[in-house]
Amino acid sequence: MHENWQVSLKQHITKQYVRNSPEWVDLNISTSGLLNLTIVSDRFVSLSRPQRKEQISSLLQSYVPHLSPGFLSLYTLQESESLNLSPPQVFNVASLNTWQDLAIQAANPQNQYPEPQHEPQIPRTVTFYSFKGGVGRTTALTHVASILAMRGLKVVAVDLDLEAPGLSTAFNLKPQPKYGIVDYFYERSYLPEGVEPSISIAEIFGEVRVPNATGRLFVVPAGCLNLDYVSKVDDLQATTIIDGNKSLWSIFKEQIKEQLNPDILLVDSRTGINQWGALSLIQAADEAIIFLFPNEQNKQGIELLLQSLKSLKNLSINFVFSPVPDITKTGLSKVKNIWDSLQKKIQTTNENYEAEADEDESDLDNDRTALIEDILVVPYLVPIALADSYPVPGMQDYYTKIANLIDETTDKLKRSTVLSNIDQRWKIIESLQFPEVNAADNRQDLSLLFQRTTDFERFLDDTTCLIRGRKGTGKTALYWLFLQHKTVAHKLAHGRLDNTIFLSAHGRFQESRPSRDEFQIIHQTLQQDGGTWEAFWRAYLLLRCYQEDLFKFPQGKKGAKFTELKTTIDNLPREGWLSECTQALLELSTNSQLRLIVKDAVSILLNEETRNNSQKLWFLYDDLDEDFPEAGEVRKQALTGLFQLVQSCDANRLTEIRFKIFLREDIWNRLSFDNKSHFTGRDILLQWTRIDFLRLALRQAIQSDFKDLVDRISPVAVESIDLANEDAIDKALEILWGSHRRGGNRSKKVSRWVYERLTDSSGTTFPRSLSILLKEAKEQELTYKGQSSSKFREDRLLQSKSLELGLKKASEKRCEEIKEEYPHLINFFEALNGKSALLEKEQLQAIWQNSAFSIIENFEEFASFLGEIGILEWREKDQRYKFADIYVYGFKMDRRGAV
Amino acid sequence: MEDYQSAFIERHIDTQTLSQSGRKVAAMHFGGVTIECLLKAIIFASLPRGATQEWMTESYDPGHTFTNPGHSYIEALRRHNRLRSRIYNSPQVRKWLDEVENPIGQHFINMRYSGVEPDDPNYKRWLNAYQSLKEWLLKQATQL
Repeated sequence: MHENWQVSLKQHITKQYVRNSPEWVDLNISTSGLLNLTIVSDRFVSLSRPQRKEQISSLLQSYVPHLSPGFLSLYTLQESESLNLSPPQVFNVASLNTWQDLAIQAANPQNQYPEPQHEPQIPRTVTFYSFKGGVGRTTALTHVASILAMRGLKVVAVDLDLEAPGLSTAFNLKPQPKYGIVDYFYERSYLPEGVEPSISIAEIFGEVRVPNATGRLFVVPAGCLNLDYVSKVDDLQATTIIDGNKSLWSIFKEQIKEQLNPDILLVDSRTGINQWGALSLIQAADEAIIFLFPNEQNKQGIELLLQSLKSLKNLSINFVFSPVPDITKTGLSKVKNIWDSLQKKIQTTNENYEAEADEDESDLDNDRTALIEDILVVPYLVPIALADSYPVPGMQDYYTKIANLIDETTDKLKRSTVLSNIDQRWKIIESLQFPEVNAADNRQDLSLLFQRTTDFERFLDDTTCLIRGRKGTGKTALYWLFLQHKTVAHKLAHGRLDNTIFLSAHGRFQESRPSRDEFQIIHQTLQQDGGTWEAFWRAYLLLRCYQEDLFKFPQGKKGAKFTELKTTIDNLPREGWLSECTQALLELSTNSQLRLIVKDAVSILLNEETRNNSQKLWFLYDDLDEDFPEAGEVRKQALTGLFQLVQSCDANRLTEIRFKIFLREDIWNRLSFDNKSHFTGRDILLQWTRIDFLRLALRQAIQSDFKDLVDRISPVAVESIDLANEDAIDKALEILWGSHRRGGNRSKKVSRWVYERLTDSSGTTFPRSLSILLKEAKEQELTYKGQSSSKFREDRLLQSKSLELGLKKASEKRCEEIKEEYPHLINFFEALNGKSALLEKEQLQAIWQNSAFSIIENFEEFASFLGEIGILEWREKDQRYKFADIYVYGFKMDRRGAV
Repeated sequence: MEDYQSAFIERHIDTQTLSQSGRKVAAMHFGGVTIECLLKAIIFASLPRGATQEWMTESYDPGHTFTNPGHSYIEALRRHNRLRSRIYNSPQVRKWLDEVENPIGQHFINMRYSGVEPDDPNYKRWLNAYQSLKEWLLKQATQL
């Protein structure tokens, strides 16, 4: 790659003729290929004009024999003064304006000019470029422009495809403005000094009506398509300098900003490698969206382009494949291949944010299926192909992703601007709170903190009587919500529960209750004396209601049959659970007479009464896993009995009393009894979907000064969190933790990362772990205060590294909890220390042999149990067991190779 | 070989000298000639390399087809589309051109027959037009 001959020629001439500073040389190659040369030097003093010409001509002949000399101005200093000639202002020596500039720079990375400090441009310019024409670039621009206008942005679309204009036709711009950008550029290029231009910026744009838009859309056409246009466009140079230091584009941008103050400029670029493509991509663009048809020609053209564009560090580039004729799997695989090839070319230019030693692969979106979905593809669409003007109604969706791309960057810049105020930033981080929702604590304002999941409505449903879930998924929080925070519960239920009374039939809400020891004794006694657990639960239920004054024994004739029952429970202590209570219940569950009476009591005294008062009764059961810890006869019989009670009540149509039993998932799975299917459809599995999770995160974060930030950037009111869609929540959270883990296109979204890391292999997500993660991340982040911010991502409060450390803490906590939940597996858990998170069957077997053989004697059973409780899953593709991330850190396993 | 560029410089100096000496009519006359030379120089600069820098005549073929436009600016501009386009698209430059070609209503070539000195405001106007036009043309010359 030889050096720019212009530079060397100029240098040579300068060397020969410029001795003192007022002397100067100017070299200008016109678009018609003429070499115009001006030399002002006193070397000409004694020479006649022909002689001067002779000198120069021979020099030019030897240097650039292929070029025609144009206007040669060879003056002495005196002559130039009398002609009032002045050297042209040097325009930003280091700037890159043409393809040649770029090519030379790209070929000479050793000579790279230091990149000037990059200010975020307002308004941003997004250039729609394609190497070859006819791929749908202009079409896409029209659709994206109207989508953005609908979203509330003020958009200015500029037709810079000067040599093949068509934007105003595409928009069907009516009325057409008097002038276009060509007229504007032309006038300003050749305007005499001191003369005001007659074409004002206001005369070169028109407005497009976008129905239902909260923003606006303006279009700057190339010009009225007539012969005058043809003549002018042929005489324009994209690199023209005006007023000494401004370019055509910079003047235009300045004036359009003043006139309209747009949020964004969309440029329809000229295709291929030429001066207007250069202006659009190199000079004007902050972002480039490159359209290509998925074939070899386009691919090679773009790869060539990328080689040159490498030098533009501040230009962000995205690709859109358009129009794609075949969007089936086979067609898309071709797209993916081209995409991969292009990515490789870009990869080397990725910025080095937080270059960690453990460059985490999990931060990259390696998931194959996700990647194909993330490639921007616009299929070949017949309505679009046939349309004469755009946008085509109903086709917007195909272009939404492109609009999102642009919006994403706008948001990121907005965040960066707001967050760049350093003091503010630390103040807000310090104020962040992530309280673990402890529903038992009545000091917590649950109305603000409690996050209902999308299951909530189903929970409220009458028929739902069983709430299954893993430990830590919020069962107990629900239990407490209804008992401790009745008003909040009513509010959340939107009036559905206004006449419902909630009772803790068994659980921690009661001051004391029967537990392990009692139940052992109860079990023995029931067996001995021929009682049933069902009867026991029924009696227990009745007793609880009596303790809470939910019914009264009727007087007189009606109450006659209940006398014995009344005597049994009448003098029992109301508060606290003493042995008398247990005795009484045993009596009521073994004595056959009393058993029947109790049944009637429930039916008449409870159910009917409640109905007469137009009320409903909810009986909540919690802590069953704690009070029946060991698998075995007691648990099996007791819990079965409880469910048999529910069945029986249903069978007797006791519609006003409802059960809500909270039970650990795996315990439910291990229960088996007749008619277990009675509960199918009457149960819910308490789960946290991603949106529930994100809502929780936002709800917690917003309880601090963070709320102000959200209000400023992506407002979501606390009351609206449950109604907002995932996008809105995501956007608000981006302020907290950013949008992507790292820079570059392949980086994973943070919200996705957080959710996936806190989800075990059975798909259960742990909300409590989120609080821990965020709290720890905050603490970590605060340790960076005062350090230099060169590596900081300024568009977020919590850095990726902080989140990772938070994850570690959350994992440790979760591991502790699971050890408590399954204490018999402790040895096994400890044996995982140092082992790979991706284990072969033999390796897992070996560990099991050494630590858990005595617990579960069959390996398959053991492995499947581990899967059930979410510790690991079998990866068919790798033929290995993969341990869930949420346990890997806490068990100190080796993450290498395990993505 | 015609050297309109040299002629331009010389005439420019002449015009300057006359103007400074208060010889207004003569200055206007020579000013017009200066511009004529400049225009012709620009035309010749646009010729392809093989062509001779001479006007075509009935008996002479210089390798191009431009005949001498004489003293008419319009004719001269007909031989340079780009420049003509730029001038025509700039109302201000056109005004200057008109003023220089026809100062006080007479074609500059015929000014030499005029015996009436223009008054100051008229002269000033002409001088401004002449200088601005010359400056602008010189600038265009390097980018054509």
